[in-house]
Amino acid sequence: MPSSKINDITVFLLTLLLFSCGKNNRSSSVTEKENSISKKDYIAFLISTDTLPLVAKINTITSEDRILSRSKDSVAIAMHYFFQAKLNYWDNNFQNASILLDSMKVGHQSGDLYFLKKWASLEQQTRGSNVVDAAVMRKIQELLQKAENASSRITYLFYDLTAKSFYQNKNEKAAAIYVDKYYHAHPYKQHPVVKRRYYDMIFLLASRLDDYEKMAKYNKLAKQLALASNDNLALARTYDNEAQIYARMGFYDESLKMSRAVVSILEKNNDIHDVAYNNLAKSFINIGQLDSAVYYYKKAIAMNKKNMSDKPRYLLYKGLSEAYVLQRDYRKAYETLDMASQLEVKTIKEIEAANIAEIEEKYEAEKKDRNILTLKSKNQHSEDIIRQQKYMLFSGLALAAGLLALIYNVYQQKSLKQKNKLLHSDNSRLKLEHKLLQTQLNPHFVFNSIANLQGLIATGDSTESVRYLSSFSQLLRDILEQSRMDFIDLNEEIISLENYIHLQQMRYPNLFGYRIDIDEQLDTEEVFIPPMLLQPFVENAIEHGFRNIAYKGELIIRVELEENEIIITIDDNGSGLTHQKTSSQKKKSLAQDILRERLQLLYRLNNQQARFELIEKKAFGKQGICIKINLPIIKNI
Amino acid sequence: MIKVYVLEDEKIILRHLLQILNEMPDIKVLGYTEGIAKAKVEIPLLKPDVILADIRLKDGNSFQLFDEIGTENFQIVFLTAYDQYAIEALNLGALGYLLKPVNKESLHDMLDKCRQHRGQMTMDPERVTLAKDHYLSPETPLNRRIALKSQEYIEIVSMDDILYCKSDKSYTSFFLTDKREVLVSKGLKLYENMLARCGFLRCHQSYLVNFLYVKKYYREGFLEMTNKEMIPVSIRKKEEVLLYLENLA
Repeated sequence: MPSSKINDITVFLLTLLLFSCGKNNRSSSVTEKENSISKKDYIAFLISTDTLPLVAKINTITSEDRILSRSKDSVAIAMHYFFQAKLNYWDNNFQNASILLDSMKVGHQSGDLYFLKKWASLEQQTRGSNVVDAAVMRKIQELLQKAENASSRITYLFYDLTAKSFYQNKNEKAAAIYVDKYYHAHPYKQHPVVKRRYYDMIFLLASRLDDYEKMAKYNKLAKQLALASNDNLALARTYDNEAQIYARMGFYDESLKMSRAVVSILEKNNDIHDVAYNNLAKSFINIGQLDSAVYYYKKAIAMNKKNMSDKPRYLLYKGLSEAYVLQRDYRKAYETLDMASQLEVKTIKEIEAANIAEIEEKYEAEKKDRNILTLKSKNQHSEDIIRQQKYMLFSGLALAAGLLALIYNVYQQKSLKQKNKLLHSDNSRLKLEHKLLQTQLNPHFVFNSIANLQGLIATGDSTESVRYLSSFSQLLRDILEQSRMDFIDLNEEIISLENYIHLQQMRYPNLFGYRIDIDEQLDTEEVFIPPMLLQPFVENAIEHGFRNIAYKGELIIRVELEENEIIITIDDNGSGLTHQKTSSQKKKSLAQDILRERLQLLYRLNNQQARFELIEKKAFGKQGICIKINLPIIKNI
Repeated sequence: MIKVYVLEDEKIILRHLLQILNEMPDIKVLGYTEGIAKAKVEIPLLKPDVILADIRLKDGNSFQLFDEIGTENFQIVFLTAYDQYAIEALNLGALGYLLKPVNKESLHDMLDKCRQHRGQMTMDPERVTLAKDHYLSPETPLNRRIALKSQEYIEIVSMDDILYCKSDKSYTSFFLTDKREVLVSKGLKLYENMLARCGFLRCHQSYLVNFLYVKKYYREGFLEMTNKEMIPVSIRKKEEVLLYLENLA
């Protein structure tokens, strides 16, 4: 069969071309091959399919796509979508085609894949024969520009598309320009299939413009091509075209000749169709051979009925009716015309229905698009809301965190302040405590002294009373004054102490004697000690040490300077600890605790240390107690 | 005629005391001493009606003396200058005392009282023991017994038997668990000092409560006792009460 032979040839050519493409096509494909050996140049493949008639093209693409679909390569996947879209398009499955095309991922915006996708999308938008929108036209022009700038391999497809759009919009001249551009840009312009398509297109445009000369010229080129390729069907078409040209120019005899040639070639090739008979019949009418015309019209109608041809049958009936009219067989003419009109109405109805369907489809598609658009905008909106909420949440969290930090800070500052306050109060409490500790003239002693004074006065011993009173008041004054101070000079302390001792000696006459020895190196007015430091020890010695002894007590107080310390000893020969009772012992140890605390408090402020110890002289075979106090020297206060 | 014996170790004060006593009619000083050693011998021999006793003496304290010779045959008036523990101890035993320097009139009144109660008012030895124990070891908790001296009698009660004390001018009413009330002619302040260490709290100007019997604290300022009695809590004491309750919790 000739058609299958053609297929075989083109497939062979195609493979050849594919190889040559791989070899001499631009460097990009070479580098691509280097990158991945298995990678195929699908664009080149697609372009090469242009050399095939449509059916062969579909078959080739289908089989290639089958192989392709198993590939994991991103380009292959994109091409798979493209081929599927295209196949669906050819199958009139426009919706699928559109969806598949949408799924095609193209990478960067200047690659062939990108242009391919855009082209296919625009092709879908310009399908049918309707007028192309200005917006779509603009888009096509835009992409054409881009493809030209990127010198894309598929720029010629955009020329083709532009030409087609102009053609649909009845701008034949512009269409002709782009057809030329298309042809010259086509990589396979030397291929007969491509060439023939080009000639056909030019012929069609010329025919629209009634440019007989051009029509004849391109028909001649097509005829040469058909003859060269031994393609009888193509040749028949050129004869048919020639017949049309002659008929339109009024050369009916030549027209009839051509029509006859067409029919004979087609009948020979078993490829005869109603249109050829119809054209022949018309040619017979043109020269007045009405019987032949009727004969061929009838043949055309029979053929049309048999093959369910595209050609509207009513036109054939109309032609037949015209032939009957010319034969003056009006009855038949009427009957035929009636048939024709019935058929026409039917056809028109069909066309209308188709149109309505198409419009409806378009409407639905638009509605869908609008829905998608609103959904998209809704989606965008909710995304915005979510983003806003996220932002709000985040800022809320940040704010909360900030607030917490602030509160924490304030709280900490407050607690620090409070701590500080506490420390402050602690400090002042300690100071106060110290004051309390040091104002320790035993009330028992005070009231006893007063009682003694009372006794002295009551018994009329006025000299002694006056002496006692002055000593007592001096002691009270000193102690009151000193109690306000942390340190007093040694001299003051000694004076107070002597006052105290005098009072005790008056209370207990002849109970004890005393002596105070002070280191000559010491300037008693330059050395400072805590007030009332020695008095409690002296009191203890008298009240507990001397009170119940059979001999005269002896109290010796020594103040010595040794390195950086003042050493004070309070030495008695009293009864010592053993003779003392539990209660007073406890009180005494309490007094010592208080003193220890007091010394710590006082000297800690100066980072110094004071200490004292109680020595029982019994351990050395003697009577009494010796207190030894070590004080750091404080010279200025 | 009241026979008096004096224990005082400070010569000037002793001299003064003897002088006052000798000026008083109806009083005879049988003897005096500076220490307990001599007193131990002389008191049983001289049999005085009243003993004037300084607590701190040359060779010990007078509680020790009474521990040894007993308190059945005489009345005691203690003398002290100023000794916190001694005064507490004396109050605990509801023992009579005078503060030095001695006021002549106070001494006179005290001896008058002794004269009125001569013979009938023998001293419960437990009261001296109470005082002695507290005096000798003031820091250890009280032995939870206290002597309450009312107009008519002196009663030793366990502190656990006191619900609360209420002040009434210079008197204090003790409300006991057996629903009796004992009126004592001493101020609440005195008992507060003693009982604060024994689970009592001054929750109000006029009230000293035993926390053993506090059942509830109402924030508007009341303590409900176990016998359903309500004791007011003064605003200034609220915090203290709360602190006390927190320490219990």
